[in-house]
Amino acid sequence: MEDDNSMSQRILHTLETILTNDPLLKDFIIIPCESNTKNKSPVLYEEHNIGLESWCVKHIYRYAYLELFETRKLLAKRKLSFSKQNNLNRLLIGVLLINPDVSTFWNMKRELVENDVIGAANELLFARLVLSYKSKSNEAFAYRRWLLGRTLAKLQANDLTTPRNLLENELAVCEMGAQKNANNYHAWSHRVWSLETLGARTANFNVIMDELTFSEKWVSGHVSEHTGFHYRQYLFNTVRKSRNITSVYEFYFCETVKLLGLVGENDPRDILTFLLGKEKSQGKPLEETINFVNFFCLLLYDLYNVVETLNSLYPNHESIWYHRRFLVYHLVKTAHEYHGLAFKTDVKLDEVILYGTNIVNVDGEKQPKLFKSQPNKVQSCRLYQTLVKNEAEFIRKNLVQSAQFHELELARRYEKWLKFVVCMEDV
Amino acid sequence: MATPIKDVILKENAPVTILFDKHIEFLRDYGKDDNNFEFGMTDYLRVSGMYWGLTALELLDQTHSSPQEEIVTYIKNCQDPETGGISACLGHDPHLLHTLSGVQILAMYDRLDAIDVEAVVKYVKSLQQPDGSFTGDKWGEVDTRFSFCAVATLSLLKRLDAVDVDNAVKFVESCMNFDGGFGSRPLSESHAGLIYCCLGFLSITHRLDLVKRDVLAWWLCERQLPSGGLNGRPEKLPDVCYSWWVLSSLTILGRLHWISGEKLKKFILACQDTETGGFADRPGDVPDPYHTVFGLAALSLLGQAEIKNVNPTYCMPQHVIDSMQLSPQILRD
Repeated sequence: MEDDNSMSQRILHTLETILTNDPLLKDFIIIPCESNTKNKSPVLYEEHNIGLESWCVKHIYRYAYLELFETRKLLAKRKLSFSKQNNLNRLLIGVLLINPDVSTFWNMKRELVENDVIGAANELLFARLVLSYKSKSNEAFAYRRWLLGRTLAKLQANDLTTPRNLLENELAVCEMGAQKNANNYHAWSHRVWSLETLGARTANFNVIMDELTFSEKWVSGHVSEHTGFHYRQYLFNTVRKSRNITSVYEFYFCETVKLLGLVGENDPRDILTFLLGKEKSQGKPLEETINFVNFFCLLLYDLYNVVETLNSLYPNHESIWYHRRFLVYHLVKTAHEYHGLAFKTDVKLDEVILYGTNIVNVDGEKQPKLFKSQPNKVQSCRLYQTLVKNEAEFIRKNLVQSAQFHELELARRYEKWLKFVVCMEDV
Repeated sequence: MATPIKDVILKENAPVTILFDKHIEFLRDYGKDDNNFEFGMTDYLRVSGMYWGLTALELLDQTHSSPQEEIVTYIKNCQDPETGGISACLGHDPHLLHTLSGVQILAMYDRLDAIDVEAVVKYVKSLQQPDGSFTGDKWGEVDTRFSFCAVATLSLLKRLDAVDVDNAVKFVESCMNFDGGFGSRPLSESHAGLIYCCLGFLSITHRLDLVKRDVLAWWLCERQLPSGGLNGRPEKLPDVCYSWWVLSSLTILGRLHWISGEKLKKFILACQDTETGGFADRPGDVPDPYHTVFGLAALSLLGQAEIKNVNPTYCMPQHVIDSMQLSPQILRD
């Protein structure tokens, strides 16, 4: 046991030394290795990457775990000397690299930060290293948010602006997490948090623009990851609401003009009139109109360029179909808002009793007939008419192409969703 | 150009009946064999682990066989004298997740008197934020899971009045997406596990009127894959724990009959381990108490007669909820 402990201490010391001296650390990994055959240090360190041979993991963990719980209460009560606290960090590095799910250990780290034993900058590097190994660790992402919250509070207290690299760092960590694990919910939630919390204070108009470009590239390379599409939808919604965006996104505007075959449309408002007819309440503040135009152009750009391309290259991906739902839903919803009309979506579908079967798989004819009303201003506008025609054609095209049941289902479900949720009766 | 769907294929020889005795054995012995897991590696979820295992045993009508007094004392010792919260394990920090699990176990044993109830109430109350949300502990991480834990804990203690419920409802409502689903925070993606938490929350607070009932039920139905199993998000693999999150959500919405119960049942049964007992996430994987309780609870919702009735909101035996005179909201026509 004595031998075991001194070996564990040595290994932990080696890890700590690397972490303190290398700000460019990339990946940490535990290397499967049954026993200590080479009689060498189990810590491999090459080109800013750390590997830890698995045979030593249980020794280190046991040693550090027992030591840490010896002192847990004393630390919480602030009854430990600085040097003793400093020693704790070495143990915490070990246990958290091995098992980052233990929230108590992260809390002890937080207490060390509060006591100024360790600093936020180094801790962000440590959390990043943990995420390089366990990229779905929400504890590690939560620790980052806590650290950044403190940093922001300090900056604010001193009236300092938020440096851009804080945000850039987070975006890079999120991308790493997203690359390592498909549909990484925590990584993408953290990206949203970063943009909302850091992006908002960085006050940089281009952040959203850059993120739109990034996300188009991302979804195009990860067509089966709904999480990536959701992030893009979040960006669209941000554009719709943002008060910081003060001009029309030229690229998306031009693409839309091209798409609609319009010539010489210079006033962005004309595009809305062309698509939706005359606005009910004219004379809205300019920013609101700009948000409106940007949002519309993005939705149309994705519907007719991004989704169109992706769907033909990679047919039958539920995530792409779901994104299409988002686009059409918001085009119709926003058209209602433009005309000051209510857009209700929660249709009651349970008139048909379909026990023992899956309702979304059932034939369209058995569905309840919806009450048909006079077309309103939205339904008679050019955009709506085009959507109805286009989506019907798109569904038909996919039905013809599909061979397998689930492929047919995707198109059929989409059709029913448009009918019963968006109330597009004529699709 | 066929795109393979992300799903599993059930084997011909997959089990089609419930392996009762195997599961009882599995749940009783779990964690006893020290070789099952490395030293201390699973301590951080022990109290929740106990809740999964003990609830599963109770659903199989086997509670009499567990050492109740020992369990009650353990949970009592996990209550932090300073904050009132319950931790996962002796010596660990208290957390709302384990506070709920501890309270659920004690409620099941009718032994809530064993802990300082007022202190738990104070703890939960201390975690509510000005926007109505709840943090999981004092370090400030917000999640809709914690909103559920907070109201579930307080309602089991009959002290829901201790927090600002209206404000808490507002926060959960702000996490709703256009597809009717909910995420972990405002602006987050819809996720079946978090949908369950939010619907459970709205069921306890009797505010299901806020839900886009059928739009959400539609999304939930689309989680069923050809194998019969349910996933938690689009294009993810089916998993037994989602049988619970999705199925309990559909039950709360009164739309359980919108999916194929027969096919789901077949999938869940195929996830049993015929050698060791217990359920795994998918056929052939290693079983654990977490997937075992959710597999059994889902089968109970599907009307499996040999399993005790489970309450869809609390994931606790229905007779416990009845005897406590709790009536979480369920939508019916």
